[in-house]
Amino acid sequence: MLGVLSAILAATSWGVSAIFVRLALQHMHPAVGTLASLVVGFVFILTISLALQAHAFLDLTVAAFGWFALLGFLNYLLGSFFNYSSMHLAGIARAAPLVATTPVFAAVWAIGVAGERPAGLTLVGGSAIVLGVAMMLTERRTG
Amino acid sequence: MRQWLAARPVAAGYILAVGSALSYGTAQFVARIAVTRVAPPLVTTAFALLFGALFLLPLGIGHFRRARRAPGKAWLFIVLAGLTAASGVAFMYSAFSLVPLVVASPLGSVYPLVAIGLTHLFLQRLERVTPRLVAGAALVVAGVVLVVVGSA
Repeated sequence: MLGVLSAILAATSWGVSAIFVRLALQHMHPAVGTLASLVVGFVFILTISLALQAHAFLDLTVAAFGWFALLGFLNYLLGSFFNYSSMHLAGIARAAPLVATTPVFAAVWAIGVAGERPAGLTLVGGSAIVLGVAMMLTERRTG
Repeated sequence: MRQWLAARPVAAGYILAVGSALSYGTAQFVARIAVTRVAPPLVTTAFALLFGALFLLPLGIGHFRRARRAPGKAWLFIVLAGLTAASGVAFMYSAFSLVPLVVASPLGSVYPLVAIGLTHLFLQRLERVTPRLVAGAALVVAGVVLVVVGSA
């Protein structure tokens, strides 16, 4: 249940963050806002992790930095670049519902490669979330 | 390829949107591996943010001169956005270390519900609530309940 709570807290944090981003981007370019927020976030999380888990930094291998770089590349460069480009070319109303299908691709990896076997209710619930978010994002931009 | 994209911008947008979802979904899979086999969630979060910033540096640096004229409150909002977004990543990576990806991923994707709800509460001049929005929100909430029950 702690994992479920963490995921819900993540969604809540991102929801609050989206409000601040929206307010800030009325005055600056998205690339600057994204970069600045990443730097602030890095310093914040680094401080906490050094305070709580300093020993973990000593155990890091060179390969670990490869995983971290892959994460940064996939999430912040590739994901964000495709996201903004798709909204520019197709319009937010068309692109956002497709971007909202992220959990579908995560599930393909999880089930196809990692061998996760989700319960039927989890799959139905995940599908309902994807559909609901797509509906909300479409309406948000066209309404 | 460039000509094809220029002639069909909407189709190209659709392809890129799917590419974005694929990238984000793959990143979640990579994050699950990282936090279960490589490093604790907080350490993984810190370095993922660092590499993200390094990758975006060439794109953002050119716009910094104009951004320096932004009002102080805009920078305050960006700081708050950075703190809350990074907390979100840390919470999500913690979730990846505790529950399967098929449970954590859809739950983390409900953040537009939170954003739209907060926007309606605090920024009513920017948003309006419609029946379709309410239906979508109800579907999301029902989905969350099903995911939670299914993972119990």
